[in-house]
Amino acid sequence: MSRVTKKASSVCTDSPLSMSEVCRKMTLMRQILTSCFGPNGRLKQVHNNVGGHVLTTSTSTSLLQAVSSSEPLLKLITASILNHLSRFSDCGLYTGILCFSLIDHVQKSGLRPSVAIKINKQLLEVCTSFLNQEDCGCKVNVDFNSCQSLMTLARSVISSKPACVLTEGEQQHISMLAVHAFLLTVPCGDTPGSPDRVRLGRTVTVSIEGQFVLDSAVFPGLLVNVPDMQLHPTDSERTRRGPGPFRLALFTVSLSGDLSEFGEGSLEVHCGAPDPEDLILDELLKLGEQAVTDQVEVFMCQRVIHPVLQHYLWRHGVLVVERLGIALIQPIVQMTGAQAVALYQTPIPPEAYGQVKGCCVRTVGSRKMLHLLPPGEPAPAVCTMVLCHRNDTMLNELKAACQRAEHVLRLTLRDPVALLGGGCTETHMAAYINNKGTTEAAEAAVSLGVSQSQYLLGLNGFCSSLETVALALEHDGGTGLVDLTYAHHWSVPQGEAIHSGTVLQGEGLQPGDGGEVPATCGCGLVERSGRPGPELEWTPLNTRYPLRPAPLVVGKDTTPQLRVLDSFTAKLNALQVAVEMANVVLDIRYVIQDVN
Amino acid sequence: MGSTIISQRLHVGLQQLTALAAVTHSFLGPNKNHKFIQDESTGESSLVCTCFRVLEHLDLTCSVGQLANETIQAHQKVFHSGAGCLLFMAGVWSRAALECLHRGISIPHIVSAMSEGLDICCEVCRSISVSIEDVRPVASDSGTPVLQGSPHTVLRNPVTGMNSSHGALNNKKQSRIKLTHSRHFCANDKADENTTPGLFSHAVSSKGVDIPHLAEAVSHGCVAAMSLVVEVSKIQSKNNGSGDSCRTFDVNKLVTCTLPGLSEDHSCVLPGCVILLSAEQASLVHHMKEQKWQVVLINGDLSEKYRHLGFNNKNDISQVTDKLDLKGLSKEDDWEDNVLTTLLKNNVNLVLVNGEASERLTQHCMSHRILVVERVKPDILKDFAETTGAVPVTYATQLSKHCVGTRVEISIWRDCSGNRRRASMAVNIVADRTALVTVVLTTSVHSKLQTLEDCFWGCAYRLHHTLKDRKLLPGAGKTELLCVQTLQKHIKDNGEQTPQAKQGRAGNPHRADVFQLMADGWMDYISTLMLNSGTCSKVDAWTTINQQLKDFNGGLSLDANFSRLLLRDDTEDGMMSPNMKRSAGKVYDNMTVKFEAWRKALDLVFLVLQTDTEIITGIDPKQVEGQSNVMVL
Repeated sequence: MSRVTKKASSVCTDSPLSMSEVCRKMTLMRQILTSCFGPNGRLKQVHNNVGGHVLTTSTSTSLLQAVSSSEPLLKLITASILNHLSRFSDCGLYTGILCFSLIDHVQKSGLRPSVAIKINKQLLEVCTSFLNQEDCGCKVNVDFNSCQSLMTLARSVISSKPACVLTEGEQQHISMLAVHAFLLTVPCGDTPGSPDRVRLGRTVTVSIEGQFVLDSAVFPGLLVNVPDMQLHPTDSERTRRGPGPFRLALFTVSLSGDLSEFGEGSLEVHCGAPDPEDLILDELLKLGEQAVTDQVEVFMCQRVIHPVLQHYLWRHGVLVVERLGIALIQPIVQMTGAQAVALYQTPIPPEAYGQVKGCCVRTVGSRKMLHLLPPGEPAPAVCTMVLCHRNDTMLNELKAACQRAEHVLRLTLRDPVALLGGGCTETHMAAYINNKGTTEAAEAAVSLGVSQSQYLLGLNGFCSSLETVALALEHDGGTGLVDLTYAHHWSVPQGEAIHSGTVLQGEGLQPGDGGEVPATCGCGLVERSGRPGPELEWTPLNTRYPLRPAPLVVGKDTTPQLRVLDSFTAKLNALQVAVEMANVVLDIRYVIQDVN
Repeated sequence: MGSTIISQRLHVGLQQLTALAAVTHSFLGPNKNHKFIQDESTGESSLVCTCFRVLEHLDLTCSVGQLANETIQAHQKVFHSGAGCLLFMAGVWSRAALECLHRGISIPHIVSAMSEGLDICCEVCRSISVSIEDVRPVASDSGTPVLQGSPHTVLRNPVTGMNSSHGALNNKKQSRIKLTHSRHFCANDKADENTTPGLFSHAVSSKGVDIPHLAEAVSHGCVAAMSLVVEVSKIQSKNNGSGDSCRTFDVNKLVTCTLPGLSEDHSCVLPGCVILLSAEQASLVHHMKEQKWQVVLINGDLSEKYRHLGFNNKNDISQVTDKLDLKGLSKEDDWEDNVLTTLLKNNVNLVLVNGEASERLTQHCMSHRILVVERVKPDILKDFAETTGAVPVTYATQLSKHCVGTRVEISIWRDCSGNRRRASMAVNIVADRTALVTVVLTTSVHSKLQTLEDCFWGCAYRLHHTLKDRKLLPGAGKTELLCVQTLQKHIKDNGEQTPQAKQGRAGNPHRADVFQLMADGWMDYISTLMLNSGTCSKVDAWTTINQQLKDFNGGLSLDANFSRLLLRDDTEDGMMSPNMKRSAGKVYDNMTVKFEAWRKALDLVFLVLQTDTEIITGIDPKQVEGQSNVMVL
């Protein structure tokens, strides 16, 4: 019996940002994201309290997908971060922290949202044009003649996730694999037919739990899972046979011989008439016959192959692989040039066949896998990255980090530049726009139609937000400093700054007594000693000390020892998303919720 | 639905990990105390004495418990040994980490110092590891070991103790030479493993080693189980053409068969496989003795209704007919006739089925003197496929001449019919040239079966890892003692450093503190080992260990007395056999397994230590209202 309940009217919230509950939730979310940030970030355990899987992570993608909020504003921000991540994979936490920080600063400053939005927009433009400048001080060129900067990029991504639990050697190994895999997927020469276009290959990741991290490896071609029983004795001969290329047929349709594709409904079979199952099997065997006469040597199917057909093919020396799964189909198509056949009732068209150069059985960890070697050029390169780790939690985090590293490396093909990591880009950029904004405040205020004091307030909030991101790298009670010459970020661990007692609020540290300041800045570009020019002075972050950053001239012949590099493309977009999202949230006047 | 956030600034997780690990403290060492786990709701109970079984049976509601379980099961799956050590160390090190936090050491410092400490210790342990060629009865003239370099643990063998002093020296020299060879051998082995061209698992090669002696060294008190393992090696070597000597051991060619009801001394090792049959079927076997038979292998069920995996059965197919079926033959009859004809045509005498076999067909076959055996393990089928040349098929109707395997012997092994249970006979089926060996484990206490099986596999894998590593670590706590000593040495050296060096950025100001706490963890391990051995109380144990460490630093090496002490049997009922007492000084541990267990324990601690927040998803915010330390997102 259905019951009619009166429809509740929608709930309208006026200026949601002024609600304490909303603010509390936003602060909580901001704390969660901030505490995850960087190589010393804290992990979060996410589970559903009814014995479900426990996710331990500090990766924004995994975290934001798992955690949901009932607050519409938070949902909005989460969705935009996830959207950014789906396009660039990197800088998710950065986007979140910056966005929340901007909102927070505007609220604290007491600026009217409309004014703040205008100022934020203008400052974003200043930032983007600064980052796009040829001589931007926080940008370095990615040199494709050596692996150095690619390795640094990859290692920065991988080392930023503590849940991977890697030793230094393991980090190096995995970063090397990530770069290796990336290089393998860049094809040599042009793609035939379209000389001005390059089609990148792809990396397939295979993860194996319980093995040594250093057993992780990259193989050109594809590794396909084959259950032990499926490797027929004759397969070993096939895999050992001399050089190919071998012809390959690929099916996406189930060859299990069942009647499921006829859909629902009952079937009436006349007694004495042949069994429909047998008829289908005959059809399948005809297909097998054709494959054998066409000299197919590798026969693959996304789904199940009828055992009788498998048996027939084995008897004729064909290597059979079933249950590939949908994820592998596209890579196989890309590598072998085969067309996935979705029909078995008609003969296989000759152009559907693909090629592999050879195959062999590889033992990876505890698993036996079939290795399909790619045919020579011009097929785009497909490679397999086998990742091993000691337990599932760390393996998942490592897998996500590697995929992120691959994406970041790919982005360098479009823009062969990278940004200084370790918070240096943020402090440098903050110093730059602070300096520029202060000197040009009068004109900027006039053009935006706001008062100069409002503009300076907005500018201050914006710069502080950027520096907050750099500060978020610190989790253990340490402090962040910025040097007054280059405006790079220097992090001082907890307890160290106390004994010297020379950190002066608002004033620079005296040179020479900075025993507690690390030897290099966050990104590793600026060294404390052994550097030409004047001695460095420091001030704590967020103290608004007027400083004009001098871009560090990087000698063309000496490669700087950069420790951390961030993706330029991803960070630029993250900056835009964060500012625009903050503006959208500030602009929201009413939230109308349907509570039915 | 929102998410709930629990902030864990108090590091409850580390305490939970310590508490969980404490459950398994009594499993450490050779004298294991069983635990009885009872489920209040169902009344079910089980007897356990290994760490991974405990976790398997516990209802782990906390997220840390689940994380620990995940790690332990993954370790067990790969190594089949060392899970107890893993959880123990995770427990003591999480206590160490907690203490570090109390002392105000920051998390990055704890993490870096602890992983550095482990790296240092693993390096030192690796350097004192003993090549398996050196683990043999070596006589020494005076009982005090003469030490130069690697084997710190030349032990006196009471049996050959006083034979000849010259012989001992010669022996040692020879083994040194062998050591260099073995390294090369190792390298080749590893390269091979990466690109296995063939499909067949290979036995771990063990040229020039004394398997029975090695087995004794890693038996860890499971003498009975280990002697079964040695027996396996003997049979495998024989099949391999190595004669009577123990030359090879392949853990992949090993299956266990558990038979409750018989007493434990009936456990034994047989070539081929052992299968339980009904008395009726067994009577057929009586006629099949002493001949070679033909075999087929069915991968799936042997029934008309069975379809292969992935086949979606359509239920609504109806048969329509326009005339009355007078013969009354069903589809199943047709199928049965078909199968039987195929089997007879191909002269098949034995059908091994992975799944279940249709009872009617089994009966029919029996009347034609064809034995159908159901529920055969996949490992066994695989071995038969390799050794008899039979090709496994899914449907019996698929069978043809080339699928038939040859030269299989079958014999009755033992009547296992209990007084009340169904009459059953254990039958031994052996393929020609097979390397497959079955270990029959028997016990009169049914609930001990699982424990026996776990114990046996533990022994088998310890031997396997020994042969694979070709290196062993001194056991009975000696390796741990060395770790403690190593860390203490580093603490001392660190203290003597110039203040400037200490201030260096690379240096960790709290390194010494963390090292000390980490070393205490290992001390805890050794003392628990001693406590469990029944030799002394925990306090006495600490005193003894500290005394040992002093001697050790004074230039003396770890001597056998220490490990004797560990295993001295003071219990009144004399739980230890004289055999065990004799071997007390010669206990060894697997190197790779131990290192991995330590590493994984530290992983677990790090994951929990670095977690600051627990997020529970899918909870109605109203449920948690009013709870402190819980926030709603």
